[in-house]
Amino acid sequence: MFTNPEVALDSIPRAEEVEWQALHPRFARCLQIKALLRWAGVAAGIGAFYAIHLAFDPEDPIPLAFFGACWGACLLAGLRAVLWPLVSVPRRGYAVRDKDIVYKAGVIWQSVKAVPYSRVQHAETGSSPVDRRFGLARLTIFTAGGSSGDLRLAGLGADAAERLRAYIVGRLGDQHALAEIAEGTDDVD
Amino acid sequence: MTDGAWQRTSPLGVLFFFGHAVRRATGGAAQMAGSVGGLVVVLQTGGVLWALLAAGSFLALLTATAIARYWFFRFAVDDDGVYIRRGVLRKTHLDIRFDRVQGLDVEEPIIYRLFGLATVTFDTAGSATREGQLPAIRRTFAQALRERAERHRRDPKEPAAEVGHRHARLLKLDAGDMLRIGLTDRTILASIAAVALLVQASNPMRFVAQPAVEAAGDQLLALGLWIGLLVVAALLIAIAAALIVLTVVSAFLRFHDFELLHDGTTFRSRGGLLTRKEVVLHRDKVQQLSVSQSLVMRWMGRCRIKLLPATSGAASGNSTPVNGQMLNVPLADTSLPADVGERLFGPEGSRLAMHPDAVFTAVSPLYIRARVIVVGILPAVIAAAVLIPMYGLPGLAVLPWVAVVRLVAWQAWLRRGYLFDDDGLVSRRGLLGCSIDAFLFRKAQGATVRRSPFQRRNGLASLDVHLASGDVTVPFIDYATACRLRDYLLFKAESSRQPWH
Repeated sequence: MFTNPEVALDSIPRAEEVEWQALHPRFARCLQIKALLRWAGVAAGIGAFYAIHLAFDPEDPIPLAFFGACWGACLLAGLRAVLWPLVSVPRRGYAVRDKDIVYKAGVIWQSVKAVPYSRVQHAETGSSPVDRRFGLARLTIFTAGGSSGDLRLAGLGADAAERLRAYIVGRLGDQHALAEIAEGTDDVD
Repeated sequence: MTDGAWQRTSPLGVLFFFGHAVRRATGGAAQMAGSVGGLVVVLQTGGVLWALLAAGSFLALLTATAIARYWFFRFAVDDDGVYIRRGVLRKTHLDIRFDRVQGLDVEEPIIYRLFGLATVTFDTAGSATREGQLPAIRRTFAQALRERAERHRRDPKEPAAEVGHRHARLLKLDAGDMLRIGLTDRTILASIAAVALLVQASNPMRFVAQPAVEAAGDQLLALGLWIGLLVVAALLIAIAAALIVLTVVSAFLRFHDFELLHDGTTFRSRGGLLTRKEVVLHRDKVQQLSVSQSLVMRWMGRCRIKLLPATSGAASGNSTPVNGQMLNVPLADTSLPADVGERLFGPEGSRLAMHPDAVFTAVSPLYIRARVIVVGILPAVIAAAVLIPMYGLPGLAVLPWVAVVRLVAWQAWLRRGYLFDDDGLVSRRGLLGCSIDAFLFRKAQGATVRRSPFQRRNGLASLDVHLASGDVTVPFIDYATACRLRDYLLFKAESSRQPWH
């Protein structure tokens, strides 16, 4: 028989009361290195452009001050990118619960997102070369519909990400088995 | 049809694959515009021969692809299901069992109708979206397929009570309704405006049109002021009338003889003058019910209803999903949403109001202030800071912008509202018109509670519910309420034993 007992609202577990797992301790450093590489690349690109420009058009050069301003902007952006993870990473966190996975993020605009295992379509892990250097990986959990419902967990240890993925995929199996049992025994419609 | 022999579709199926090939090659409107632009550039620089050659070989390639795909597309039908083998280089085997088929969408483009053909799309249980398509098969064959699928579905465990109102017709639109659809259509007006802008922007048309317009202007002035004004007014009225005729004709083309049927578990709509389109949507597949009412519709006492299935991603198996078709009811009486809602949600959504005019819980009025700060004051201050050094005091002319934003935000706040019961939630929004989105908690894919600094200071939050059909947002509600709502809907999603699709 299909039963549907009433549940008191207060007895439902609250997402705020979970114990948040911090991301990997090396994640902030990894973000800083990535940002430095990125902005150094942009600055080098501007430099290369300037060099080519000078080589081809030495009579009427674009004032150096313009490129100086560009490099200054790169420096500021790089500085922000180096400092920001120190603020933002400690405020990110995730929690693996019995029925769902919860992820919080944001310093100025804060958000807490929760995705139940029973709605997960598939999960994948991935890592960039810099991530691998730091022994990190990211886990992406896909749900049906648009990408706004997907959960992206960056900055996990490579081992933790793989274990978490295996756990979630395992839970998917449970859900399908459960659904089949329900279909077989109950009149679900 | 039960011999299970492999067969090809009608040769007209080539058209179907050609359409597919074109869509894949152009990959959306932007790319198509790019290639047309490229062609124009080539034509203008004088390489007419090259352009023709390129276009010709491109067309030949598409045709060859279409013929190859037609040739390698074979299907068989036996007592248990439909089997499809397709693909030129990458072969795909798709087996669709009749007991999994929940519905068949049948589309009959004008060319197919001339030959009594139809394209069938299968909607199967256990997948969030549609799976297989049979292009250009005989209409009678499509009918037989549907009957067989329905027989398979009914046999095992269909509740006897639901057979009672089988094929209840919920709606039928007549010619007067086509007129109303034409009058309330905004997309066509917008596209005509876009075309007019394009024509304005493009050079050749201006060269042709400008002298003619100027000459006409001179002649008008010669006629005298009042007659001139009359002629202009008549011209404007004629243009407006032509636009209305165009939208009404378009409504006839798309929705002629439109019917909405319900047979206990599936909703079915069919309509169209040249291309007759039939959309079948199983109740379990519907993720969200949307009811919208523009200002004109409000005056007419009508509304538009959409039943939204999941947008992408197959829930099980590796089959390529065919994009889910939403069921669109272009015009309905304001009493229909409640009826559809009752049939769709059953006892689960019995206390949800499916009407824009129902009493909704208002969101916090601080919604207005947040909008005014972000959209009004901030841009106005920046603009003033830029404009005043350039133009002096006239730069302050940007300030009325804040008042406009205040007015718009206030109107938007008036329309914002939400309503929930044990099983579902309805969210309302709008500016001039109004629309509501209703869904069951157990269909949710996830939820996010967001807070800006302004919301944190005032103990507020916004709740985003992620559905397979898109997001529904309830902004600026009490933080505790948002958290409880999120926890409750997650609880419903996690503990529900019914599949969400």
